[in-house]
Formats: sequence, structure tokens, C-alpha cells
Amino acid sequence: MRRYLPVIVIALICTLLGAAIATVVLVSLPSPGTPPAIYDTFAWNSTRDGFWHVHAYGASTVVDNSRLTLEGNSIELDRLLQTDPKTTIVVARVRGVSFHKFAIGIGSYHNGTITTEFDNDGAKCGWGSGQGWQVAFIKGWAVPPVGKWFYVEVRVVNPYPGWTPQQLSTLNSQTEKAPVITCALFDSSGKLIGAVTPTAPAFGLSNAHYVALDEAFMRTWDSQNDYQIDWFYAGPPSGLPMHLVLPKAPPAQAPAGIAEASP
Amino acid sequence: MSSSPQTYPSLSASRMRAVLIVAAVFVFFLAAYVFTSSSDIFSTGDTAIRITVAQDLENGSISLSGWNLQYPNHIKRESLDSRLTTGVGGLTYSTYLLGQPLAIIPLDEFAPTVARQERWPLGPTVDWIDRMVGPIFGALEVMIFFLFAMRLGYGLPRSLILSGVFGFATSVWPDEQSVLEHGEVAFFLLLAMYLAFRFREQRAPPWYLILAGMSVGGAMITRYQDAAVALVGMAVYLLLPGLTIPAFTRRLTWLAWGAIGVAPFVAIDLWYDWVRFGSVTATGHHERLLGNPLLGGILGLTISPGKGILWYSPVIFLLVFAVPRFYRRFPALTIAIGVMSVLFVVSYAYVTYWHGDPAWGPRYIYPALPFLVLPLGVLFESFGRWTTAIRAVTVAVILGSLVIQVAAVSVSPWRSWYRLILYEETHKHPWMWIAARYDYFWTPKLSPLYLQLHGLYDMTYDTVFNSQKHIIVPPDEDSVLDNLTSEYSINEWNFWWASNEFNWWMGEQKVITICVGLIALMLASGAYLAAEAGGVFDLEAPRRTAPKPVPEAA
Repeated sequence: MRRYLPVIVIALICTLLGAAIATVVLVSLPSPGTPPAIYDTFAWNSTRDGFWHVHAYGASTVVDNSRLTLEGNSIELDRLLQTDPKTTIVVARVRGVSFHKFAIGIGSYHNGTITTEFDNDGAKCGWGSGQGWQVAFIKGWAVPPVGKWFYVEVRVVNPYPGWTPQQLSTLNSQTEKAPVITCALFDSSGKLIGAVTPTAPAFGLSNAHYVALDEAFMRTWDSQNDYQIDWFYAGPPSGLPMHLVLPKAPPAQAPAGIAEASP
Repeated sequence: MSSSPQTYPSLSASRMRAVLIVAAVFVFFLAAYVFTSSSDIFSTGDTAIRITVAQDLENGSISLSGWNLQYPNHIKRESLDSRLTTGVGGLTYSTYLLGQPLAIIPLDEFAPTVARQERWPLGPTVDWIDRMVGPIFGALEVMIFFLFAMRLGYGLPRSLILSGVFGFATSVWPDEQSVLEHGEVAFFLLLAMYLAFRFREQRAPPWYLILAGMSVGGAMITRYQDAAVALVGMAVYLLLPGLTIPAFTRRLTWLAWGAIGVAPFVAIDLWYDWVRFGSVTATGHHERLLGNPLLGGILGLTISPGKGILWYSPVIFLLVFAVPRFYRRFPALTIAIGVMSVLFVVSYAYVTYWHGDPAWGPRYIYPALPFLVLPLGVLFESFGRWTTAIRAVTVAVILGSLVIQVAAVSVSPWRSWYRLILYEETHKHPWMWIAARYDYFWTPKLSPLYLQLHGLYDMTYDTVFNSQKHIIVPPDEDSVLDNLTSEYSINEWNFWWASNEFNWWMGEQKVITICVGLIALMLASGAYLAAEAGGVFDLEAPRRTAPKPVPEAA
């Protein structure tokens, strides 16, 4: 038996190394890539099947009757997203049964985010800036509109559409323009209730450039939350499943002195 | 030195097999460390700064591009971030040295290629691959430790067991997982001492001393304080007399060889200080660095329940049994290790930030760990001859030490910090990272060590019984605790593949495939090492005893 032991051991090692090499080959096959748009009607349980990356503590997600219910203290649902070269929007049809803190938005991995938030005192626009987290009211309310459907939207416009990474690298961080963000709230018939396009302080370039935005998300935090989401969309405006009269964002312009780098 | 022919412990019967054995040790530990690497790839602040330094260096900038430090006027200098400061030209610089950023640069250059190929988002891909510098230096450290053990004459099976104890039952494991720079320092210092040992005891040529000096230099451009301590230890080792050691004046020339190796790295440190802060002696630190009560620091680093190295790596207790025997065989090396270890403890005990919080354990003295574990090899040599009580104690201590390290790497240390902060807040102390205000170092029930073991129990319970009994939910409107629960995966296992941080951008299938590959590598290298240790590839029947160790300078 001892005669064959070295051969057996070598065969075992070669098999294991073969398995290791096979995994290297499999890993090197590229993933399908991030989608250009997300549209989830919650027709199937997309929180359980991994479509959404769910981070929930003291809270729950329930998908029932093509409707997502977020209830409780803290939930974060993320989904990778490829931004449109010009404009990316995040829209959801939402109603609150019990209002506290809820947000939809777009962000970059553990970094800058832009959100439209629901709270018991109003709907707000939130964004990370070089001076910390900023909030601007879209619409305040003394009594939360319990049970009413709303469309909430976040729109982000690329200030340098079509620029290559090489061209972007020539920008001066002091004069570089931030992405133009708009937060809007519509009633159940699609009529605009309120919108803000905050300009100062701008969305923080130190946090993320437009091209770095790579995830769409929904989240709740603190307790007393009970929200229902009918559908969620993130992607270019052309892919939006229904027509909403969105406020126009100011036109993006390249900063002075580097306009020649524009393609 | 004596001219009589002598044989010294070799690694294997042939050079090829020696290379394969050493490579297998490295691959095994690298695969194990990558497999058990942390899911926390975005919040280790110190490493994040050094990654930024590396990326700025890649772009040809020594300053932190785009950073503009702004503090409110009422903030005292003592409370400013000691890791960043304003320097030459009013620009922002890191106070860290070049060592770890330079090691990160190749990984940082490689990471975008992986992101493009895999179509993974660039941010997390770069974050994850850059942090592989921790496992790489951890595996390198264990590899050199194994070489050292072999050259000390422990034999292959015992050297492998000792390396396993070192790699998994001491703070080396959580230290490499933390991706702080102490693993890199420990590797360079261990390599330096190994080369010096080979020169002094095993007739290696003098250029080994130059290499030893260069190895200390690697530590010098990473943490110069640690390198200075090691230089003293190495000088003591080279200057101590021995039976076949030449005269003192000749031994002084040995120091010159070492100095040749380390000198360029000292120059790099001085230059780096000058270009950042305008003076070769400026370090950029604005806070008071020295002046901690010495006795308190010494006791804190050694025996305090919250920071004592004896509790974080209990295998050190076994030195009680090992040192006398080790000293008889290697007196100069034992003295040098003793001097170096004492200097590590005393010098850091005097530093105001001696605890190194919020890191795991007494991180500043981790580079002394390999030297404190090496002597334990003599325990395994004569394990069968020890009394049953000593054998039982040895096994129990090693297993206990292993459990502590498993707790440290499998549960996010931030879970323990959450409980600690909650305790302080419920006792009306608003939380700030000023350890002097708190008594958790000396209160066993507040020790991060105890809290971490408690966390291991909680996580195991919830996993085994599919329960949510121990999930931590922060109280309302508490931003500190809320941030801890949202920024860190404190309710999940800390391994990258078990957490909820990687699957959504890497894809579940890729996570599983990478894990299978790492386990296959561990099994392949482990099978080879076990076969070598069992003498499977020897033409003759395997030797039952290790080669007789050669005493120091005999």
C-alpha cells in the first residue's frame, strides 16, 4: 500500500489543483453586467429571490398582491444600476399607512446618495454635500396623508454628458460642476405637488461624481414605519412606465476654461 | 567562527521540495486568510486613508488630492485627527509612512482590470482587492515563521503544527484580517531576525546581514518606531558573545553590514518627512504622543482584561514551560527576543494612544508575537515526555487561544463596540473615542474580549436555531448606535462570503465559486504538507524523530 501512497497523494493534489484552476476559469467569465434600468412591479417576490439586496433589522419586507410593504425600524433595499449617460431618474408609487422615515434614491456604494424622503412632517429632498447631509422640504404637512398614493421621484442630470473618463480627469475639482438633482412629489393622478432643485450646497463631488452613481435604493429607518410600494423604476426617463409631468432641470454647462474638452 | 564542518537543519532533501514546501505553506495560509477575510471593506478608516495615499502616489501626488482640512475654531489641537494634517504648500497630507501604501499600489493597479473583466462596480472591487494586502502579509509572516522554526531544528511536522498555532491561535489572524499595517511590520522584523539568525548561527554569508538591514528598512518605512525597537534587539543579538562567535570588535563590523541595508530606508523616511512637512524630523503629529503613565501602560498592554496581550493570545502563557529549554539551546536569541519584547511593551506603554483603539487587542505590540511563539516549538519536541498535566494545560491553552481568534475573525468587532458604547451611554457618558475616560480596560465584563466571545455565542445561537433573538436593533434617535448598525455588519457573520455585502454586486455564483477555489487551494496545499510531514515522498521509511537540533553557536 505504501508503494502507491505517493501516487494517490499526487493524484489527490492534482485533482484539488484542477478544481482550483477550474474555479479561476469560472470566476474569470464576466458577470452579465449591471442593468440599464430597473422596473419592479413586485409581481414576484423580488426581495426574497435576490433581485433586491435586502438589509433589514427590526423590520420586515412583505411582497403580497404585487405590492411591497416595508414595515418597522430599518430596512435597506439596494439594486445595482447603470446610469444613463445623460439623465437617470428613480420613481416609485408609494403610500404610507404609518408615516415616519422612508426614502427612495440613487447613490454610490457606501457613499454619496440623493433621496426623496417621506416623514411625518413632510416630503423632503436629501443629498450629501461637501458640508454634510442636506435636506430641503418639497411639501410639508401637519397631518401625514395616510393611505394616499403618491409618485415620488429623484432625477439626476449628468453635467458632462458624453465626456470620456480621460476628459473628466482634466476637470478642476474647485470649479467642476455637480450633477443637477431634482426631487419631486406627484399625487395619484400624476399632478405635481412640489419639487425642489437645490443648488447650494451642491451634491458633494467629494462623495460621488455622476458616473460613480451605481445603485438605486429604498429604505426606512427609525420605528413606526409602514409603507407600501406599488412599483419602482430606476433608469433613463424614456423608460418610465407612465407619463409624469416632471419639472425641467436647468441646462448643464461645462465650467469656463475647460469647455474645449467637451466632445 | 569555527571552521569545523557542521550541518544545520535543512528544509527538505532537495531544493525543489524545499521550495514546494515553503510555497505550500504560503498558499495554504493565503487561501485561509482570504477565505476568512472580513466583509468590512469600506469602513476601516486607517486602511482607507492609506489606500487613498496609494492612489494619490499612483497619480504622482504625495499630498491627498482634493482634501481640504477644515476644523471648527473651538476644537482643541489634541482632538484633531492625528492621521491627517496640513503640510507643505497648505496641502493635506497623511501622517502615515509609505510602507503599506507602496504595498497596496500593485493591487490597486490590478483591481480595475478585475472590475472591467467581471463587470463588477469599481468601488467595492477596488476596496476588496486593495485590502488583500492584509492576508498577503499575514501569509508571508507565517511563511517566514515556518522557515525560522525549521531552521531552529524543530523538524517539519512540529514546525507545521507550530505555524498552525501561530497562524490561527494568536492575534496574527485577526491582525491580518484588520488590514492594519502591523502585519507588514511583523513580517519585515521577523524576516530580519531570521536572516540575522542564519548569519550568526548557521554560517550564512555577510550579505545576509545587509538583507536583514533592508528588512528592518521595510519596517522603517512602515512604522519607524517598531523598526527602531527591532534594531536594538538585533544589535543585542549580534553583539552577544558565544562559543564560536568572534571578538567584540569583529562583531561591531556586523552592525555596519546591517546599517548598510537599513540606511537607504532611513533616508526615504527623512525625505518623506521633508516633502510633506518641510523638515526631516517633522512627523505631522500635532497631538501629545508621549507621556502616558508608564506602569499603567505596561499593565494595560500585558495583563489588563480589555487590552492585555496575554488574554488576546493566551498561548504566550506557555512560554513558562518553553523558555528555560529554549534558552539553554539559543541563549543569545532568547535574550534578544526578551529585550525586543520588553522594549515593544515599554515604548508603547509610554505612548498616549497605547491602546490603539478601536482595533482588536494591543495591536502596537503584535510585531513581537512571532518571537514570543517561536520558543514554543521546544514544547512539541518533547511533548510525549512532559507530564500529563503540562500536556493537558498546553492543549487547553492552545484551544482556548484558538476560540478567541475565531471569535475575533468571525464576528464583527463593531458588535462589541456597540455594546460598549451602549453601556457608556446608559451610564450618561456621551461617546467619544477618548479611552482615558472609560474603564473598560480594567472591567472584565466590559472587555472587548468578553463581549466578542459573547457575540460569537449570540451569532452561533441565532444561526443554529434560526433565531433572531440576538439581533441588535439601535434605540430611536441615537445617531452613534444607528450608524454602527447601518455602517457595519454587526448582525451577520463577519466573513465576506457570509455577509450581506458582497453577493449583491459580486453575484451569488461568483461568491460560491471563489470560495470553492480557495478551499480547493487549502486542501491541495494542506494535503501536500501533510504528505511531506508524514514522509510519503521519502524513499526510505519516514524518520520517527526530528533531526537533532543544533544548539546556538555550538
